Amino acid sequence: MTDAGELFGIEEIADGLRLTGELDASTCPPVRTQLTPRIQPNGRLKVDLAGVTFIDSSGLRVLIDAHREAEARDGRLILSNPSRVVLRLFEISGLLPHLHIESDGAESATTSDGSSPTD
Amino acid sequence: MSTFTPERSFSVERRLGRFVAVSIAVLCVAGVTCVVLFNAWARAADDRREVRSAVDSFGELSLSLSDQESGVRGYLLSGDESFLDPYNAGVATQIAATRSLSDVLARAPVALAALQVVNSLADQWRTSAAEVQIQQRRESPTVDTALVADGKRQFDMLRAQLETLQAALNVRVEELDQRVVNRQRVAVAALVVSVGFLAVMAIVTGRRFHQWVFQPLKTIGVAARQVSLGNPMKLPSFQAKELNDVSEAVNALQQSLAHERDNAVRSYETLQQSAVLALHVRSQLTTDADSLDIDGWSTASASRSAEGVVAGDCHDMGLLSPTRMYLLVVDVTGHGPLPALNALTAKSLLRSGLRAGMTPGGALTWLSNNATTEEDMELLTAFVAVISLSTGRVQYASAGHPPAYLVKESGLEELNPTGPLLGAFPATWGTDIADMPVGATLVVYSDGLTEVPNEHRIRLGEDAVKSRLSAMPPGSDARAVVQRLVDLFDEFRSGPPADDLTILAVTFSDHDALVGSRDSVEPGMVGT
Repeated sequence: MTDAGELFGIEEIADGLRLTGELDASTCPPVRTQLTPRIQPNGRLKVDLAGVTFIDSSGLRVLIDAHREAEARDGRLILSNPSRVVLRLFEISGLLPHLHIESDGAESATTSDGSSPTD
Repeated sequence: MSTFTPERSFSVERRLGRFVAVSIAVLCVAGVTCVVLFNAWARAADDRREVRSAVDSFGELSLSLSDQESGVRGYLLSGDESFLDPYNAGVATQIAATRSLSDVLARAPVALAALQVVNSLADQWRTSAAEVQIQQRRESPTVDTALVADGKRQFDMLRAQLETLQAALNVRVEELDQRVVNRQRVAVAALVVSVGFLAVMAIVTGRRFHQWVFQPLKTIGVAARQVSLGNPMKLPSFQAKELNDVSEAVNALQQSLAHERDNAVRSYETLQQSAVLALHVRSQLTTDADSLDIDGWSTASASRSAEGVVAGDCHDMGLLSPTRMYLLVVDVTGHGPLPALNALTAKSLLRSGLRAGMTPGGALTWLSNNATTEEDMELLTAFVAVISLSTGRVQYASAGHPPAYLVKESGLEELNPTGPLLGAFPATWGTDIADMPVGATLVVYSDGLTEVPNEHRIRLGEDAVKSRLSAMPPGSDARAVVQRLVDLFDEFRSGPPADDLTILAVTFSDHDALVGSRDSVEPGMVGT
């Protein structure tokens, strides 16, 4: 367990990382540090966002960079179980068509209006 | 990083464990050996004590034979039967002493054989000499002198055999004395060697512990104190793996501290150099947008920077023609001079695109294609709108920006993004259209409003903004709308704002004021 403050946590899980708390400018650096080395060619990396209550633009930047890095290596970054608040952020930001989002292990086909199984 | 030599490395725990195990094994062996040897010593001493008691029994045996001989001789001279009492008592004593000696001399065959010879000669003397002489004396006053001489000869042989028995006993005693001394020496020597070996093991263990643990810890402690004094000291590699790990960790910590210190110094220098620039950029960001004086329309804006930094937000409003105005809000990731410069650049490019006749979506696409490379570009959200001052028609595009709202008598209309935020993925942005009736207000804000937290880390959120806008009194103008949202922001937040805040509002307040004062022909727009 790596803490980046009492409001945030990073936990290693079988196929990736589990984040909890608020992902913002102050908590992004450890997430980037933990994510980057886990991106492998043709690999599938999961980031469990079920416990994430807030993401700001700095947090989006980290997730987008990791997504790009995974795609560049023919891999895939899976964002799993985002809360409604986080899903709404992805929707507003216009990222739903680009990111791979799944709920409870099944990758969801998010729609243009942002509806999702987590809603 | 210290150089680590795997061949020489070891685990202190394992090494000391071996030392302890060997010490315990040696202690066990030494203890058992000492017990065995001391028992042997004790047994030899017991044997010697028994043989020495046999010497006493030998004296009784010798005395009993002398009593028998003197009793017979007195009786032959006097004929008095009382002289035979010592003879008879001596026989009984001889039997008892012989039994005692036989038990003691069971493990001394030479002495035991001598004892058996003594008893045999004594029996022979009594039966062939003493008893015959006693019988003759009872029958006549004189005894055959030849018989007396033969008895004397037999008793002399018996006396000689007694001396042989005594010599054998003495030899046995000397043997046991020597054995006791030898076993005593061996037992004491084993004890001394065991204690000595354990002492050596304790000394060696102590020295190794000092060499493997205390000395490295002392060195690490000195290095830590040097670090606290600002003099990093590279630690050497140690033989002990555990201490070597600590050494490497301390070295890495020193490097990290030095790196962080260098970064802090560079950041401080950069901050000093950029301070003047930051102040200039900040003035540009906050003064470009202003309230416009347009008949029939009212505009207002508010912006606040995050505590102590230059904003990454900026906004702008202006006229593209007598009948068209534009407004835009840009929010770049982060705060400080660089994001502010990026925001300022984006604002300038968007404004240039609009003035060149591009649609809002076209301007965003043009910005995405020309502003910078995708990898290096900061994430950026933007809302761009062009409003017809004569009809209230709004052409807008949003790059991942929080929804704008049209506050109308009939309710709120949400103006959602027409494409992703800039800098994330290659994309194009469309242009949507909405209509502003008279009395309606267009409200655009940055995420600093909805994401502001209260003391419980709860965010304000879109619903609170929509609720506050829905509750606006009819006829509220742009200034009143902006003020209500600023009040909402201030009422909700706890502590200084951590993000930039921008709010922009435009109200179509009076259509009649426009009649005759504007050119009713709107220039066309072109997309890219």
